[in-house]
Amino acid sequence: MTVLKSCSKAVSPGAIYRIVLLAVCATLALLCSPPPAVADSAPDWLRALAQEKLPEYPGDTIAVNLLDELQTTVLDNGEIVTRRRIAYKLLRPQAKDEYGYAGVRFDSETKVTSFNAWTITADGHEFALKDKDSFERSTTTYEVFSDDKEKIQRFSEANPGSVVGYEYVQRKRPFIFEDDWWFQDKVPLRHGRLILQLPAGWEFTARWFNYADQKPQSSGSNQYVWEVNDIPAIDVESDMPPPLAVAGWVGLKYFPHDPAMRARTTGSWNDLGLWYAGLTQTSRTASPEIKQKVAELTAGMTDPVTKMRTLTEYMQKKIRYVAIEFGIGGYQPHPAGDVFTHQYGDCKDKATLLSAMLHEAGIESYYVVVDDNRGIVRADYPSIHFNHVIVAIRLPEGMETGSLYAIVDDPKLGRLLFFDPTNEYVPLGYLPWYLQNNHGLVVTSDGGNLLAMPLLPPSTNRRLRTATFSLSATGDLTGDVHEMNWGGPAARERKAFLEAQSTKRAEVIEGFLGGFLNNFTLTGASLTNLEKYDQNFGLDYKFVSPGYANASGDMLFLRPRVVGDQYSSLLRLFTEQKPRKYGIEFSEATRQDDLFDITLPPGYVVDGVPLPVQADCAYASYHSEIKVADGVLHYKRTFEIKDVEVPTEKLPEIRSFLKQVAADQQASALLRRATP
Amino acid sequence: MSRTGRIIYSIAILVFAWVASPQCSRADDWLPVPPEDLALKDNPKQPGADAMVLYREVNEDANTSAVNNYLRIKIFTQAGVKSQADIELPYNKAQESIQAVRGRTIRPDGSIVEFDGKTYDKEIVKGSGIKVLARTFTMPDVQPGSIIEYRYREQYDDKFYWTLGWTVQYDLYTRQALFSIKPSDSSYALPLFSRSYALPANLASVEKRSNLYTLQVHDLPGVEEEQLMPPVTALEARVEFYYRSQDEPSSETQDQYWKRIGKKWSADVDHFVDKKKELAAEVSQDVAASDPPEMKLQKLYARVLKIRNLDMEDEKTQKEAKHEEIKPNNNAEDVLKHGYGHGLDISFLMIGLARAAGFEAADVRVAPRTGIVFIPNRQASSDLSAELVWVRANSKEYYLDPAARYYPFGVVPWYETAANGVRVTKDGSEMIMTTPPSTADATIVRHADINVGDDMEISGKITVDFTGQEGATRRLSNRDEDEAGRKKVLGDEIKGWLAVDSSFEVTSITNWDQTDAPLHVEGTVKVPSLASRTVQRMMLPLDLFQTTEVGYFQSQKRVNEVDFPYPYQKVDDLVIHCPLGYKAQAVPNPQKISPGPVSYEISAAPQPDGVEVKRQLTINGIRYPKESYPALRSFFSMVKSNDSAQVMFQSR
Repeated sequence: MTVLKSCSKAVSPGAIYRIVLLAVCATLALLCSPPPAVADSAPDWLRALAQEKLPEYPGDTIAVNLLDELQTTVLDNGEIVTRRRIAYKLLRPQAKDEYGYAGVRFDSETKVTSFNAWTITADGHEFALKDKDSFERSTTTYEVFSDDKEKIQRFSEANPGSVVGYEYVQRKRPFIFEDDWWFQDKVPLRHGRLILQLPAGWEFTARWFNYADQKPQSSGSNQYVWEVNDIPAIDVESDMPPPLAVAGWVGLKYFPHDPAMRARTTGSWNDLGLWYAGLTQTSRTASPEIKQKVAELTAGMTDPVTKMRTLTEYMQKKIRYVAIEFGIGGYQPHPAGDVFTHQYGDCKDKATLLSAMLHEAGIESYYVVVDDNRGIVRADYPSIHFNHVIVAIRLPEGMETGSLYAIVDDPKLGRLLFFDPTNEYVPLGYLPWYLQNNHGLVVTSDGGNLLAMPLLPPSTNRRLRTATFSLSATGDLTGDVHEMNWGGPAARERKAFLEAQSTKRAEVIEGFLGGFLNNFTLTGASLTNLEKYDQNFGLDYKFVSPGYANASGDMLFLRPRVVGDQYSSLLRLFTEQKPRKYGIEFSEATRQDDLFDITLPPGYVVDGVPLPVQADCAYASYHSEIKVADGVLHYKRTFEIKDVEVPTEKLPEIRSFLKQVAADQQASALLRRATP
Repeated sequence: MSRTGRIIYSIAILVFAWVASPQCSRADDWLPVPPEDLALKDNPKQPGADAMVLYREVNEDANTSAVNNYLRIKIFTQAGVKSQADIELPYNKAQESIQAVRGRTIRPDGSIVEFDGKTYDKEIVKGSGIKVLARTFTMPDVQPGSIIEYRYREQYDDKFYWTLGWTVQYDLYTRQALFSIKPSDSSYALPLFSRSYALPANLASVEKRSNLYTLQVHDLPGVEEEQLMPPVTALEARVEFYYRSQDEPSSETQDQYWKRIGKKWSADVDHFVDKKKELAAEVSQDVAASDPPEMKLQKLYARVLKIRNLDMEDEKTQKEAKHEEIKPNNNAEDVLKHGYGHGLDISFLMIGLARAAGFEAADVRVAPRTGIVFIPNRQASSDLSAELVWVRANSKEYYLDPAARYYPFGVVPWYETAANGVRVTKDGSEMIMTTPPSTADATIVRHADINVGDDMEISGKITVDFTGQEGATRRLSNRDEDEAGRKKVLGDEIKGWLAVDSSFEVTSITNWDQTDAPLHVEGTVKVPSLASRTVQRMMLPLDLFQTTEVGYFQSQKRVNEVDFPYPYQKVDDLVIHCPLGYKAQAVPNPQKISPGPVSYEISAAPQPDGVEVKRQLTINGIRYPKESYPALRSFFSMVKSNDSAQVMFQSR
């Protein structure tokens, strides 16, 4: 189950060290393992699977998931006991890395009561590992602390031909009566079984996603069994929609007999909203210090937009992202006063403090719970599939919205401006790409409403690059480039420069130029509005590139598209031998223009120029043309992405489009020396 | 800070050091905060830094098995906030604890926000009696301009306490640091020795006064990581402390030390190979008496390569080892009998067989070039972590590493070439440097035969031969892959040399197990967007194989020297067939660039139906001072420029 455990935008600071330490400790654990007392024995269910004749699988299949069985027993007190059996047949050596370990995650609310693992080797030898052979580790990544942990067993002899399996029993106290069974993964599944045992009087609903609806077999004692067989693997492809958005899964909801427990079942988005509103009821109370700070920050301001900008920028720049989570703390924010005192917090903490501050400034706002992967939240299935919290700011009636684009008009709440205080670089008015074309549950005191967040138009995510170049007779190019960025491109550029040491900012530009120029020296650079997030971001640089134009006899080959690549690298998505199974997802709609003037060397004339390109498809357009006048070559091109989701059946169209873009970017003009 | 200010500050630090010593420490004894530190906007000695260590102190006391740490850091940028404000201190709970964590944030205006003392134990790994945790905490209200400071004590269980060392170099610039260690006062305690590594000459060396070792450090930059730089461990300044057992001399010269160590290692080898009859019998099966000496050695090397190297496999549990009936090897005969062994067993077997065949052979231990530099005067045998075999046949000397398994005869892993260490003899040790690597031992030869279609799409065949180091490293790193896995890995690598939208599929890999032969890869290529066209003309750059090295030299700035792992050569032959109706109208002029130890040449010759391109890139040296960086950068820029020169085809 994907749970709301803060956002995932931070980088794990000690990941490498942890991996190394884990490897060392795993080795130590191996060395310290006790000597075997009796011969190991695998359970009958695993032996039966090991005997089964399997169908033919594609040659690149590294393993087969022989069984994924989830047995869920709901107890009358609302606790849930799950027993899970998993088995794989390992087909290729690479399987050792991905399926050579058994793992079960747990936290303070989910206790693992047993955990056993077995191997049956190709020659029939059996190995057994018990709970005591396992080791534990924190699954914390970006959090300073979280109580999420994982028990791990390393299978013995996890070699091709071996069958490995494990079984664990886990007892949990869910905050919400819903559960998922994800049965489709990166390897094929032979048998899948979901068993649900409910107490007398309880009811359930089951929804199937990315798979045909299945009816359960019922034994009559409130036990239900679903089975699936021979589920193909998900072929993970670059730039595809999130795998979780295309994998087959079942969503279960339980409805208790006891009306007092019904609040933990979320049948509607409103129910979920009520649940989250309850969790956060007192979180946004402003402390005297918060009130004082708001007064200080907004002193003399009357315009609500100015107040909003001031407070959101304060949140982005001053409140550090830090996640500390225990149990319900994965969902419940810390009180605004605590967040303010520490000047740090996670996504829901930042949303909490911002909301409290806005309130003090006379502006109302709401929590919005979201998943930062598109396609995970299903409008027709209210569930707790969220991993991030942002805010929706209620805009005062009649307020001019100007450059505020991330607005949705809700019939009940009025105009809502979505804002992500965790994202440090996307300013008020814009929405980070991962939230565009996505859904968010707006939480109010009396419930919740799922709203579609907009895909911002291309004109809001814009880059305009103008440049003047001068080419010498020896092919050396001198360039003076001016870039202006808005929206997404501006946020990405700011991130790149602000996260680099100030002494290494030149390297950011050098890294960019190195993608297009063989030989260059950066001779100057300046940034405009680097830290003024509500302004467009400017980047100016100058360079010389010796030998930019190749010489051959009397000819010079000049590529007019000096710098910049307009997505032609996406052609790599079509270079695999296997045809793509899934569509392509662009990050955002955008418009990017290049206007280059190249002064030609005296004595040279243009002997041939690339033809103009007018490429259009439903998702993007690209237009370029070259004109020559008075010894200057004028190159102009406009690239636009209009829609971000390209379905599989439209891939040939986008491929043809990208080929035209790539050909134009590669094309050269021919210059000929006219005078000896 | 002015000179007077520095003196006052240093006095304050010394007073503080005394006050903060374990016997005198009070809860909140922090150093005074000079106003100039509050006002500091940047590190004047290293402008543009995200943060710097203003002061660091590490006090270790063997009597209490405790290490007291104190760190004061100035934050300059948001990146500095992100990298320094969250603290994670790993420790092994079974052996130590982290105690007395205190801290505070000092805002630029001098106001103080106390750390609330909340720390968390993050479980790194727990199991089989091991519990490694990380004590985590985060500092409050950290902003650019803030100073953060915190203290903590590493308290060891007496049973597990063993004198540590000082990693003097922090990852940030350190303005001032003070280290001390108080050895045990017990009359039973072994004497404590110290040795330093890479301490800059302008820093004071370790001082010992009245049973207290101290070191003061100032203005020590952090190690800045760059591509093609020496290993970080080779650059990091540190001091190690160690004990010597009572049967070891308490004071030795460098020569005496290495003589003693060499004798011991030599005795280990002699004992292991003391199976003359069995080894002689094996030699007689493997070589003919009439074989020339080098052939004999080659055959013995090939024989030893067949021994299964357990070190190249995953660690085995006792159950797995029992199932496989893995037994220890006590001598060379066991290794032959079992057919498996650890790396050391295999090296010793090679020595035994070589001696049995009448060669002079010895164990060689070196400091691999992936780690620290060998300094004999440190008297640290543990620095020599790589093992090789030295053999003399007639007057020719050979270094071999049969435990590395995938290297052809006469080629050892690159990190063991030009490596310093010792050759052990019955009389001790002889300082040696292994043979420097040679360009001929690392070549990549690429052939491409491609057609340009009417639609400008390129398709054809590529073959690649990886020789010496190039073949061995690929065989080694992909040794656990199956055929499909190797095709994928090598296919992806070759695809990485091509334009980004190219496809390459491996059709065959040969000589995988013939380590003496080049690793030969063949495959088919398609490139949709390399060629371009104007009316009646078509242009194609010569760089089907893109210049990968240039990526290392994009930055104009360089801090470290440039360190290539080994010299190498790339030899390319590219045959391009143009579409029917076209002929080569203009080809780039031949180029030859040879500034010292790097060289490059390229030429394109028109053919009846296209053009043939020949190219050669040779890197001879491995280590270049940072002053050479601009020349290297310029060289690779010129290489890339010439690689991407275009040939023009004209419609007939």
